[in-house]
Amino acid sequence: MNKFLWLRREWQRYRASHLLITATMVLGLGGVFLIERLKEAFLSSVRSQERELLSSDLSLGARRPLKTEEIERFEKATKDYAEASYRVIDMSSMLYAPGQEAARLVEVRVVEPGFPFYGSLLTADGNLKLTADHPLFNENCIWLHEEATRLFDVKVGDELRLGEGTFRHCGTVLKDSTQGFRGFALAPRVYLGRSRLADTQLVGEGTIASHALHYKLRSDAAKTFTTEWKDALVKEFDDPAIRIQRPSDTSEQTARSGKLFGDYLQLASLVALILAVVGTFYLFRTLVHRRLKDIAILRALGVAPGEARKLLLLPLATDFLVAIPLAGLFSAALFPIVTGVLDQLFGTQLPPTGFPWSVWPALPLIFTLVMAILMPSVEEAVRVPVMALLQDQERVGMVPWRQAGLWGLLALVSLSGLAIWAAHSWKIGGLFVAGILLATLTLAGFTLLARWVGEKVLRRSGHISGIFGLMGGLVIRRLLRRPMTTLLTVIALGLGSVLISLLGHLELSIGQEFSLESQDRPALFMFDIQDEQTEKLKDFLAETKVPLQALSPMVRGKLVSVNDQAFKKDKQEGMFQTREEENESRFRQRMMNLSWASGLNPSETLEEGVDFADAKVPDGEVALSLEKRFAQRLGIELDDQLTFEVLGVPLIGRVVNVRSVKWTSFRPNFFITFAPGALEDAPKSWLAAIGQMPAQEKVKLQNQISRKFPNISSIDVGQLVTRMMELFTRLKKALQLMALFAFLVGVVVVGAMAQDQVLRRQNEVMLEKTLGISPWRVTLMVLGEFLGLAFVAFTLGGLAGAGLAAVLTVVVFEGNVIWSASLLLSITLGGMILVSIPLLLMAKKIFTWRPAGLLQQP
Amino acid sequence: MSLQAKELSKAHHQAGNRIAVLEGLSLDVKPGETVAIVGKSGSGKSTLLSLLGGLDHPDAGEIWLAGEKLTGLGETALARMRARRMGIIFQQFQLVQTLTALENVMLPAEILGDKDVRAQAEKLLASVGLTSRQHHFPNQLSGGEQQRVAIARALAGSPQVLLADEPTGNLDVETGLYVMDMLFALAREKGTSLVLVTHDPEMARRCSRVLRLEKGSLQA
Repeated sequence: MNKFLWLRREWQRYRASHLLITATMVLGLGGVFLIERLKEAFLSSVRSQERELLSSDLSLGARRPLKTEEIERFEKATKDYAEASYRVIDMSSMLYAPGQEAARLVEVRVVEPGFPFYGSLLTADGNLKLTADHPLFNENCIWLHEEATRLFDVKVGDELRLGEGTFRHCGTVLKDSTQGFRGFALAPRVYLGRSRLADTQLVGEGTIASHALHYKLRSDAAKTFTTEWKDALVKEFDDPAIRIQRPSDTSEQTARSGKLFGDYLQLASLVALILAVVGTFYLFRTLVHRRLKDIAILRALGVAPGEARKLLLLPLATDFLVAIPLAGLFSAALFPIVTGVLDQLFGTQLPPTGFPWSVWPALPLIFTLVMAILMPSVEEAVRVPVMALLQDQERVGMVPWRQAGLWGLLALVSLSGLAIWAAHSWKIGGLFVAGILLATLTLAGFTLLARWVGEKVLRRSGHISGIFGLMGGLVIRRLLRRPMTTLLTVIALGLGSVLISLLGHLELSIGQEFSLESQDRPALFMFDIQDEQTEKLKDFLAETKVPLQALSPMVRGKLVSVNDQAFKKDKQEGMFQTREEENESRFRQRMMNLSWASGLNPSETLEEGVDFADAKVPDGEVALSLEKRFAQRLGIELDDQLTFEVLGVPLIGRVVNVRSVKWTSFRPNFFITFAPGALEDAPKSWLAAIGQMPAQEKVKLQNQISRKFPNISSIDVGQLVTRMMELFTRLKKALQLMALFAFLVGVVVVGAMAQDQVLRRQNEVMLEKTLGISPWRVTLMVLGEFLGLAFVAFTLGGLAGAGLAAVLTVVVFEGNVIWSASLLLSITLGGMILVSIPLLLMAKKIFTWRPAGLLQQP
Repeated sequence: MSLQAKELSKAHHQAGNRIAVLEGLSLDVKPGETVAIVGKSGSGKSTLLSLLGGLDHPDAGEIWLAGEKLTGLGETALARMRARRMGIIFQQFQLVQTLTALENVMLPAEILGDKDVRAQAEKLLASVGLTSRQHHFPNQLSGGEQQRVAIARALAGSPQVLLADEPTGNLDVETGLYVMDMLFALAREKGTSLVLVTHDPEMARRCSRVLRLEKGSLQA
C-alpha cells in the first residue's frame, strides 16, 4: 500500500482531528521549547558578559589573603602572557552615614587602578576610568552603587564611615557590569581604593574576605590557558581554598542559580506537556475508533498487523514532526511576553534567541512517551476482530495486560528520563515523577471510586431523576458511564490545578514559617566579631541592657578525609551531569565553617546518636555533630571518622550525633560542630544574635554597634526575612506563570475534548430533543456535565496540590502545614470560568441542532 | 383525535438549487389507524415523518394533532408535545448509550414528570420480552433487542401517535417480522395511531391504509 497516498487521504478525511492533535502537541512542546529558549537566552546573556563579570581574563583567588608563595607560583605560570594585573578584595561590612544616623550592611569591593579590564562602572558622566591618579586611590573617597545611595539617602560630598575610616561620598555608580544579576543580592555594593583599605582596619585575623588577583592576558593566550591547564594548576596547588577562574568559570557560577530556577520552570512546562499528551491520547483514541472499520477491512483483505500499525502510526508521527517547527514558532511568539514578565520580576533582560537546539535530547524521549501512551489504542485497532465486519459491528481488539503494562512501563521510563533531563537531578526528577503519579492516581482513584459507588446507587434507584432531578440524573449517568472521558478530563484539568495549588500553599506555609517565629527570631544577626572583641561587646550590650544571644565561635577548616578516604573534588565546573553530582562535588572543595559547643542549642534537635556529654570517642579524636542534610548529601554516617585540616594542623573527629537545625530561627548554626576542647586555640571569629526589640531601638543599637565596633557586621533579620520572602514571591510568580500555562493547556485540551464529545453526541442531543426535553435543557445538560467535571477536577486537583505542598512542607522544609480554603475556592471558580469559555462557544451549536437529523441518517 | 397535515410544502437547498421535496401534501390519520407510507428512496418519506413529528418546520402548510396546531409552535412547546403525545421509532434504534434498557424506557415518562415510572417501564419491557435484559446497556444488546427497547420506549408515554421510520431496516427478516408483530399488536392494544414509513410491501400491506409518496404528494 502506498503510504504517502494513505497519509494524504488520512489528512483529507480526518483533517480536523489531525489539526487538533498537531495543535495539542504544539502547545505541549511549545512550553518545553519556551523554557529552553529562556535558558539558552539566559546562558548566552551570561556568557556574553563572562569577561565583564570576572573583569579580567584570569584570576587567582581565595577567601583569605593570598600567600606570597602562591602568587609567585601563579605568576610563574602566567608571566609570558600577562599584560597587566590588579587585586580585588570583596567583603561584607557595615557602612555608617552619620548625617542620616544609618548603619547598613554593604558589600565592599576594594579595587586597584586599572579595574576593570573588561566591563564598566557606569556613572552619570559616563564610564568610570580608575587610573592611578583617580581620587578613589588618592583621597578619602568612597563610591557608592546607586542602590546604596538610595538606601542611605546620601549625596555626593556626605561623610560615610567604613570600619575605622571616615570617607567622603565621591560618586555614584549607576551600573556595574561586574556585578552579575542583582535580583539575588542582599546588600548594595560600595567601592574603595586598595590604598585606603588600611584606614578601615577591616582586614584582620578571622575576617572573611575574598582576595583575588586578576590578569589581563595577551590576545594569543587563549590556546595556553585551557581547561586542562587550569585543572593541572588546581591539582598542583592542592588547596580547596584556592580558586583559579577563567571567564567561563564565572559564567558557570553566575548562571548556577538561574539554571536551577530554569530547571524548575522546565518541570512546570513538563506538566503542560503531560496534559498535551493526555489530550493527544484522547484525540488519537477517538480517531482510531473511527477507523476501526477501515482497519478491519484492510485486515480482511490481507494487510499484516505490522503494516496496519504503520498505517495508524504514520499520520501521528507526521503530526509530531509538523508540531516541532510549529512549537518553535509558538515559543518564539511567547518569548517576548515571558521575558517581559521576567524583566519586571528580576530586572533581567534576556536577548532574543533562535530555535532552542538544546531541546533535541528531549525530543526522542517525548516521542517515546507519546508512542508508549498511544500504542495500546493502536493495538486495540490492529487486533480488531475481523469477523465483526460480517455482523456489521465495530469492536476493538483485546490488548493483553502484559503488553499494556510494558507500554505503561516504557511511558514511565520516558517520563522519568524527561524529568531528569529537565531537572538535571535524579532526586528532583524522581520526586517530580512520583508527584505526578501520586496526583494522577489520586484523581483517577477518586474518579473510579465515585463511578463504582455511583453505579451501585443508581442501580438501586427507581428513577433516573433522583435528588438532582431528571437533568442531574442524566448528567450523573453520562459522567459515570463514560469513565474514560471523565477520567481524562479530570486528569487534564486536575493536574494544572495541582501545580497552582501546590505553589500557592507552599508560599503560604513558608510565609507562615517565617512570620510565626518573628517573636523568637533575633532582631540582629552579627558576624566578623573578633576574638578580642567578645568581652567588650558583651559589656557594651550589658550596659545598654540588651542580652547577647548564642555567641558562637567560627573556625575555617577543610575536610581532608572520611574514614581515611581522601575527600577531594574529582570534577571541575561544567562537567557535572546532575545537580546532585555538582552539589556533592562543590562541598568537596569548600573550606568549611566549624564551631564548637557543649551541646545542642534551642534551634537544634537530636536525630541520631548521643549528646557530646554521653559520647565516647577513641583517644586522639574529638566528638563531632553533623547537620542531618549535610551528612546525607556527603554520605557521612554516624561513627564515621572525619579528618579536618585547620591552618595545616590535622584534627580528627568522630561523628557521635546527627541533628536537625531549624534554619529559620536565624540563630548562629553550623553544619559541623565539635565538642569543646579541640578548636579553642585556632584563629577564629564569632557570630552572635541579639533578641527581639522595638524597631526604633534596633536601628539605634545597630548604629551604636557600627560606631563602637566598626568591623562587626550586623544584619537586620526582619529586613532579611522580608527580602527573602520578596525573592521567594518573585520566584513563585515566575513559576506560577508556567503553572498557569500548564493550567491553560489543560483547559484547551479539555476544550478540544469537549468539542469532540459534543460532535459525537449530536445524535444523543437530537434524541433527547425528540423525546421531549426542551433545547435549552439539553444544552444546559451538556454544559453542566463538563462544568460538573471541571468542578470535581479543580477541587480534587486543588486538594491534591495542597496535600503535596503539605508533604513538601513537612518533609523538605520541616515547617507547619497550612491550608487555604480561599485559595482552593479561587482555583475552582477561576478554572470553571475558564472552562466555560469554550463550552459557551459550543452552546449555540447544541441548542440549534434540529432533531430531524435523526431521521435522515442512512 | 387525529393527526392532520394540510398543504405541506418543504424544499431542500443544495449548491444554490432549490429541490422541492413535498408540495401541497395533505394527510389525515384517524385515531387507531395504521398508515403505511411507501415510496422510492429520496422521495421525501423521512422528511414527511420529521414534519409530522415536529422535528422540522414546513415551508408552508399546517399540521394539527388532536386539535392543536403544531406549526408555529416553538422548539420547547414542540418538545413537550412530542413527550406527551408522540412516540418515534427510528431505523437506527437511537437509544441513549449511557442509560440501561430499563432507564431508556423510563425516560419519556420521567420527562413528563410521571410517578411510578419504573413499574410501567418494567411492564413494557416484559411485553417486548426483555425482562432479563433490563439492566443491560445498548451496546450489550443485539440489533433486534435494541429495536424492541426502542418500541417499548416509544410506547412509554402512552402516545396518541406512533411514527416509525423503517423500523426493521436494520434487522434480519425473521427478527424484523417478530418486531413488527409486536409493534402492530401493541399499537392495536393501546389504540395508538401508527404512521409507518417502509420500503417493505409486505409490511405496508399489514397497515389499514397504504399511501405512496410521489413527486411531493401522497397518492392512495
